[in-house]
Amino acid sequence: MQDSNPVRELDVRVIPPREKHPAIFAMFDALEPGERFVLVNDHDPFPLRFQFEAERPDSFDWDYLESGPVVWRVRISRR
Amino acid sequence: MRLGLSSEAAPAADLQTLAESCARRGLVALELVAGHGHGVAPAMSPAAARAAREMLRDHGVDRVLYRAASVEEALSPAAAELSAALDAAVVATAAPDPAATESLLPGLQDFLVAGGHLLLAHGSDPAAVAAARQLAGHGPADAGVALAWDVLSGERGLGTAAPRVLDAAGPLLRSVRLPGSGPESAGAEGAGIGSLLTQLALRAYDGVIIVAPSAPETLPVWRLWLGRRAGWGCGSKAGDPALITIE
Repeated sequence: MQDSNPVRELDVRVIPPREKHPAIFAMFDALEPGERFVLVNDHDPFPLRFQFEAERPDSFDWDYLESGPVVWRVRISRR
Repeated sequence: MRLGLSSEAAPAADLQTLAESCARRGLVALELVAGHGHGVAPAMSPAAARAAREMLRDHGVDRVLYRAASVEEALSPAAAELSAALDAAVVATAAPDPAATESLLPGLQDFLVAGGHLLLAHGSDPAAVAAARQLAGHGPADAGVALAWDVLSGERGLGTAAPRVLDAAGPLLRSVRLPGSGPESAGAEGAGIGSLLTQLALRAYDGVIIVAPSAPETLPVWRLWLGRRAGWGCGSKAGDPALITIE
């Protein structure tokens, strides 16, 4: 199936540390159901996944596209 | 969006060192500022420029900008040749004065015919963006003239400025330059970078984000940072001083 959604990529490496998670959640909350974005980071953002599970339960999908060693890319989809 | 490094972070470094630094940090774009130690200049032979391009690609750098010293240098025949051979966009600051803009048109046409790609740099003032876009509009639709947003060092309110700049620039925006990012990013809290990045992502921006130092005094930090491969820290680790080394 062809994906008609534009590739939305949020590279959080450039965001000040304390603003990263708020920016990621702001991005997620702006999505419509079925939309997604790719999170780019310089380490495995698995703590963020726990935060998503706690704060946005049953509303997202999490897929690793790249897992280091320099860059991690995770596709976060809104259900 | 594709993250890149400015040679401003290591002005004395040669091109190989910059390429290795990009690979170490997972940066896929490189801004080469005129006069720095990388040696790239309009006087470079096309063969040398093509070899430089291949070397950069081997290190994962697939987008290159050459920031010219002046508009005159940017629109010179030699700069157009460099742009084509290096597959790099030449960055020049557009004058906000419409009369000055008009005076550039003959040189711009020649530059485009020679195969050059140009990014007109502007600040956060929507009038400056409009002037740059007006000049870009004089070329054919896909002629290779686009825009570059140069954020000022220490500039605040980027989240508020972003909608105005992004609306004014439209799809022509290809570069956003952020001084004070990279190893300095912890000091940029409250400037609105998180909001800016979110707005760019929501618009599916696929241009480059160039990280650069805020001032020459910060270069020792950048030297250290470019030599390491480590996380920059996230919200859950912001209190860990080991992740970002600030001298």
